Amino acid sequence: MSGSHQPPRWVLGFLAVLCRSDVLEEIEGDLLEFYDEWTKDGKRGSDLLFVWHALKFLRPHTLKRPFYHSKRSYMLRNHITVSLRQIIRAKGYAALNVLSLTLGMVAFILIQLWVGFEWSVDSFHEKKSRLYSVYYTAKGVDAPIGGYRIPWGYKSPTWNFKEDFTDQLMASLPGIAKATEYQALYELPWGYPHTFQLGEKIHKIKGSLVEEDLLDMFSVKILAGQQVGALTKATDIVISERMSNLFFDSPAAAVGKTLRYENRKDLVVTAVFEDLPSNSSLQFDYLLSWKLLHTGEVYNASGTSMIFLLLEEAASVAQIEPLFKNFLHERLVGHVEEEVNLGLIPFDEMHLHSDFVNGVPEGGRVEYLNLFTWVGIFILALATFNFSGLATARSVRRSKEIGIRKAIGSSRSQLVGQFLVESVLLSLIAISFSLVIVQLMLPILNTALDLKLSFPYGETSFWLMIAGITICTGVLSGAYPALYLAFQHINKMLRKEFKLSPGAVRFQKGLVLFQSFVTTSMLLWTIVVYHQTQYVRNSDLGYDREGIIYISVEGELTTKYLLFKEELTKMPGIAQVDRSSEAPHEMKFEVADAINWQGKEPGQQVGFFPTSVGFDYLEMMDLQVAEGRGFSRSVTTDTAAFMINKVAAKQIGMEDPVGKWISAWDKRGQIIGVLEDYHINSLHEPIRPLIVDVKEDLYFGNILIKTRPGQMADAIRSTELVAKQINPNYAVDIKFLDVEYGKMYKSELIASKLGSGFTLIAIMISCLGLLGLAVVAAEQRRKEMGVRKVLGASLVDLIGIFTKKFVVLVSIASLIALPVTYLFLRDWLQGFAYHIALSWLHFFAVLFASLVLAFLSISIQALKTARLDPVDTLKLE
Amino acid sequence: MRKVYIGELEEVILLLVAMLQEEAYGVAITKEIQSQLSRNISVSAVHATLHRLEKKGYVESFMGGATSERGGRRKRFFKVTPAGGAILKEIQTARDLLWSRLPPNAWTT
Repeated sequence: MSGSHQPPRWVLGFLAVLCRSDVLEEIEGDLLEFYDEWTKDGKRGSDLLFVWHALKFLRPHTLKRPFYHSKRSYMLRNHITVSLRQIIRAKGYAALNVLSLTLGMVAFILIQLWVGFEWSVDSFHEKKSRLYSVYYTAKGVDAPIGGYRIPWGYKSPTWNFKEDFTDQLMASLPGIAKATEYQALYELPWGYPHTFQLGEKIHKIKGSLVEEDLLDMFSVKILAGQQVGALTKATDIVISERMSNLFFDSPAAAVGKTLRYENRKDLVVTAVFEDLPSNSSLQFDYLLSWKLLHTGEVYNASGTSMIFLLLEEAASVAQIEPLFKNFLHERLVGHVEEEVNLGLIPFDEMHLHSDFVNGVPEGGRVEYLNLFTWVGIFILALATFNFSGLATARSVRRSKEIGIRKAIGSSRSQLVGQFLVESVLLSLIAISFSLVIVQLMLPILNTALDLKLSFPYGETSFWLMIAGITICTGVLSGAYPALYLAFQHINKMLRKEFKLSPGAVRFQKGLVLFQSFVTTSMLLWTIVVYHQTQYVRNSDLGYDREGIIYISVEGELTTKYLLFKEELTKMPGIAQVDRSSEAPHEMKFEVADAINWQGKEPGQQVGFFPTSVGFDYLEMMDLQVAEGRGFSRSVTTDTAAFMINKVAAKQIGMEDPVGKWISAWDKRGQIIGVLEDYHINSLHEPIRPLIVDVKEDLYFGNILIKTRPGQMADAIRSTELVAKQINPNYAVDIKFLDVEYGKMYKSELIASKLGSGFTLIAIMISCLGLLGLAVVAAEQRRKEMGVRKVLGASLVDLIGIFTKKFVVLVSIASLIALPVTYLFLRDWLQGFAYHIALSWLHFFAVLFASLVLAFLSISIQALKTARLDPVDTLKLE
Repeated sequence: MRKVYIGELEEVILLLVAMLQEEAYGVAITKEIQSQLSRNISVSAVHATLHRLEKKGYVESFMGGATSERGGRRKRFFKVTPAGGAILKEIQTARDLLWSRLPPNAWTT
């Protein structure tokens, strides 16, 4: 044996339990011999092959006696035969059940795959039990706020980039083995993918700035180059396999080579790492040394950074956390407020707990995961209950069969077994269909939701889950009808008319209630979430985001912006060109202590979002001036002037701001105008104070380009052309403002799309259930309908009598479901600073829709029965 | 009167057991079929066939010695019995007879 690979041990155990001992050894031996050969082409597939071939060994001659040649085994085979005959006999009924089970299973499996993926994020780091992220807590307007991106001011009150915060942290606090700062160089407010060049090859690539400890803390697998100390020098760069393939022939060929970075500095590739898996929350294609920031050769992308710690084996969070406050306040005397503090959260939980409540991580993505897990369970329950309800209803038809079985001596357990085998068999058929459908749907789901899910063929846990679902749904759905029929008295069963007992009728009603409850809740939820998502995407932000594209200020553009603007404005498709230091839709940079104003009281602090723009910015973005005027080229002092928004004026308590002075850092000037409030961040957040000035020579920021309506293609060509001319050493990366804006609502969009898909499934399952019940009821009430018809009942009367019971049930369920869902939705909407109002219209629409759907599913059958000629229905008597 | 018929796969495997002599066991036979006849067959199917042949009395089997290979599992080796040899011969003779009676242009190519 090669020894390096081991087949799944449970398979061998499984064989040992089932197979005769005299053939077990040769089977195992032969399988292991083949396994050795398979593993030469990799482990993943060979495990699967091993399982498959082991399963194929389960044949009559290899199985132990009790598993094949026993009474129980013969009985089981008889049950299967009988079940298959039943399925074939009532094809429509079986198809209905399989369809609804399949729908339920598909929904459940898809949700599990997605939820499982989200839970697996960051779980691949070997040292994850000791890895922690630092978060900060600070004073907010109403309640404390918090975040993972530590503001620079907390690390160095003087904004000295050369201070090494993590070194000081490790020196002052016990129990920290390693620590690193982490800044994604492409993150907002000022980040973008940086440019690398090798000869003719120019690429823009996303990467991060880290300290050398990072490679020892996280499981980043080095494929070639230095295993340790790969980021010790400022000129060191570690790149991904993907990036090495862009520039070089192979990872090994990349090591030791030089790449031109931002046309500014030559960096030496010291190591190549394996591409990060998609379930890593940190994503980067290269790592630069933090020392570059010290030398000023890389710009600070965000004014914040994340900090990750690797604790010592013996250290605990409880021991370190209380020391943070003192540490911070000692270093930052007079610069921080009392509330400012740091805290720790396990690194692999950071991704799921993205929201902060009272300055502490709480909720976020994990809430959606829990919600959808429940949705999956409920949908599967719907399908299971469908089956139960239908089987109970149909038992009337099979009462004769069961009665005779009982009469000739079948035991209760055998009867129960017969029914359970039947339901497990249907559930097996359904699961095979669902697995095929899930496979077909995964790529669609991935594109629609921008996910990276894959079908886990090789994962034992997945197959165990599938087996679990099959058996659970099979047994649960078959349990009630099986027990119900097995325990009925034989006399009752063989009587001419077998009627369901009151208990069974109540059971059926309960099922209908539950189904309607779930579907109505989901329907309301989906409609409101959809409505809110539409609202967010289409609402007027106070500026014009249609037809606007932007690129980063970089390379030659840092000095030749005016030339670029002049050249580009002449080109086809371009309406206007201007600049902003911040991305207009997502202004991440907030500052309080650097802003002063006329009449500021000592100690008063208001967080401002500063941005520097060009002269035409207001006009291009269609921003409205509430008081005073906008910036003008003709007024020479306007380069020293400021504008603020209405919220800012209100928060600093300034009346008639126009003409008063305000200052940002060491620049001081007049407020020449007040802007109408417009959204500077996603609608989750309220509009915050804004301060705007004109700076056309900043070395960072974005150049925004307004395209002429309908000439987007021309505009993009023009922009690429002019950018290539003026800035030849950089690749052009054009972004669309409306697309970037939409990205801020990714999780809401996923929730909305998934939600509507699953609601549709739930509705379909419920309708199938009602349809099935209606079919059975119609059959039972044929005579009754016939008699009524003879006595003069009209078609409408008959349909009314038939549907009344169901409609009442659905109404009751909806009336319970709507308020419950309302409470839940109110909380969800509270997560947005700007949201739609829940109106009666939502509730009426949902109630109406539920009733119509229920009515339609039933009335088709009702109509069919009602239209039958009484001569046919009554003649049997 | 022929007592027992054997199938095509049984015939092939019986021949291979005869051919492989001391090395006739599950994996070896499977690989021979896969390589010599380019026929995709799973090892479990081979086992099942061998089991049938043994029941019909055409092969007999014995366990080999313990080795460190295959996780320490012993191999079951097969040997053709005189009855197995007889039926192989019988098939061969019957086929030869039929072949010899084929007219020269039995089918067009």
